[in-house]
Amino acid sequence: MQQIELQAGHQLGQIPGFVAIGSLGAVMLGISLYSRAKLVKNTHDFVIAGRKLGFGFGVAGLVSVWTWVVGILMPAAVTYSFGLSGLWWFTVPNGLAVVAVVPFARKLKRLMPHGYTISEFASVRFGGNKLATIVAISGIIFGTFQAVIVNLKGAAIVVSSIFGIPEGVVEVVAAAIVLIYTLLGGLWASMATSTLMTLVLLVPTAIIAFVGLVHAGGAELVWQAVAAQGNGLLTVGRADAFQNFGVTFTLALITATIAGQEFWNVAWGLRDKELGRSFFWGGALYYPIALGLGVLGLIGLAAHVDLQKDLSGDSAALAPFLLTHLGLPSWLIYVFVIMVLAACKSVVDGALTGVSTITAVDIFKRYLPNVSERTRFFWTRASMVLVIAISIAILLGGVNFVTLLLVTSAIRGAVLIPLILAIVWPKMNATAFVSGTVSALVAGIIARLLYSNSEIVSTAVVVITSAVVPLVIGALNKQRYDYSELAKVQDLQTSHS
Amino acid sequence: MKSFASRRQSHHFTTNPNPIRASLLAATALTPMGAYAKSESLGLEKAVGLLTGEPTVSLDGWIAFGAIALGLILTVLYLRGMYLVLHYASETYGVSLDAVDDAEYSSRSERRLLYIGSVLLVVLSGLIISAYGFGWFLLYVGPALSLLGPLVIIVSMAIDVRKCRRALGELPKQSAKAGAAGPLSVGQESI
Repeated sequence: MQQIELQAGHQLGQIPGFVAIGSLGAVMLGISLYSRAKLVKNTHDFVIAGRKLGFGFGVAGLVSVWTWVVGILMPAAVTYSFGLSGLWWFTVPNGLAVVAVVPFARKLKRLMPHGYTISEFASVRFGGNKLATIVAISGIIFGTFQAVIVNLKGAAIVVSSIFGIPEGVVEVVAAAIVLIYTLLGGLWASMATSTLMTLVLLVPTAIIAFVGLVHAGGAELVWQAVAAQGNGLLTVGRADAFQNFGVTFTLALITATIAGQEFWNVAWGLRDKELGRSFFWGGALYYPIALGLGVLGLIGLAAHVDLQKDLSGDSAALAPFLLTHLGLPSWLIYVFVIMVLAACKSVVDGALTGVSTITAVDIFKRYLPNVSERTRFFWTRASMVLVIAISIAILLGGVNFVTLLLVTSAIRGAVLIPLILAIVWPKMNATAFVSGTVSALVAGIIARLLYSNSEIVSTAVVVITSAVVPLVIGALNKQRYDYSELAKVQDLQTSHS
Repeated sequence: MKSFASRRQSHHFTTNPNPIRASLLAATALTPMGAYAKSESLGLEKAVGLLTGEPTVSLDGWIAFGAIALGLILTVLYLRGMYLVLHYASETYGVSLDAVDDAEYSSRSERRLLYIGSVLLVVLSGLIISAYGFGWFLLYVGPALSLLGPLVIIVSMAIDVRKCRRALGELPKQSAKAGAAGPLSVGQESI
């Protein structure tokens, strides 16, 4: 059988790398300036886009906010590691996680039409209980840092490997670009740039897969080379893939959407009638991206890429490796880099917008309602600068952020079911919410220490504890919450500038 | 490897030995154009080779070229849609769009199709991954869906623009579907 020949890879040079990063930044800035000039006149516009996001921007923004850098690198990596089973278990829960928000978002938007944040909901729902609010805000803040750090790191690794620019420099430059354009236009800028980024994700995915197949000798050769290896690579029934991407991964994805403020920002920013179909398409349109990039994983298998020798043991490096070793034209490598940067920037700007909304609503609207519009606008933006500064400090300071990521996942996993119960169950109260979350967190950490080799055990412990504790406490609660109270929440007081 | 285009030409010539055609081809072969065609690939083929980085263009190369061409067309339409959405969002700043009934700017079948399409894509994606294992030609399905993905957003943006235009009174009322809501209340939002 004909072999796929890999070529010697070479870096494209630092100057072209800076040009690529700078060009994308300039386009983002242009869109942001236009959005700001036309659509952002007060804090309400800045944090929630005046609740005027439409269907098109809603769908595209959701796709883009949901597609992390790992969402670009992993389809190829998991296909390479586990064959089609890996791609199946990675891809299918990914889209469903966004769709899963629909019933809760619809209900909450109907009950609380002037809401902004999920922590504001927790606060109102539990009568201003401080602990409940702190628990909800903690999940969001940790999630924000997770999104910013993971995406900046992922983009930096890819850009650095292709252009030879030091990772730290990429992190700082990319963060500065996102910060500038998000500071200018808030949610409108975030959604407009994310809409463009969705185009940058969908079309290049197809072109990279098609041209990749050309350089690998054609789809037939690739398919036959993978089939010849056997090992269940072309089936979706491999048990090891389920063990790696099954329950744990699905839960992590669902917590990222339901407990993630960036998604609630979009949900409350969308016009009422557009919410359901926007989230449906937002989830559905991630699938083609994963399906397209998964083809690269099959090419990696067909080309017998060596995990240790070629990828230094990290299968996530497969896509950049193939792009630079399959003999693809340079323009396509630039397109891939733009894709990765686009994914990074749109996720980071979504996270920053989430933090700015928390600042405006959970701090200023609640505790300092009478400050001037100007002061509130200033601090809303300052919160974004603070998040970027801390994230960069963590990245450049060499702090091991794996612990941060684990804590974030644990908090979000623990808060998921209590949050859902708060939305749908009138007997849920603050004690049940806080006890459920905290006990699940503690039980999860203990399970993790005892069964460090089995993520399924610690995941199951978190899920069961976070469900059973609030259900028991809630069942004992004789009072039923009147959801019509949520309708009393008002918009931020604004004065048009 | 011979190019896809040249393979097609030689096959046609051997099965249809037309003397006029043969003499025309022979004459052409003596001209600079003929020399160009023999030594170099055709212009389009050259472009395909340049874009895909393939020295000789294969069937897969032509498919990739088609994808690039379609991608460029969709990009133009998408950017136009983006501009229009931002423009009309600005034009309707302070105008309540919630008062525009769905039926006034999009048909029932359009809305139904959009819902069914999204649900189908969610369900089918799992099947498509499984289908990759059934035959090599199915490997093209995922990338093809990705290429066509922007169409959904282009249509969505067109619906948004139609809604804004309806709110601004740019679209005539007679285009509204039967049973649409009464006169549109366009008022300042109380923010």
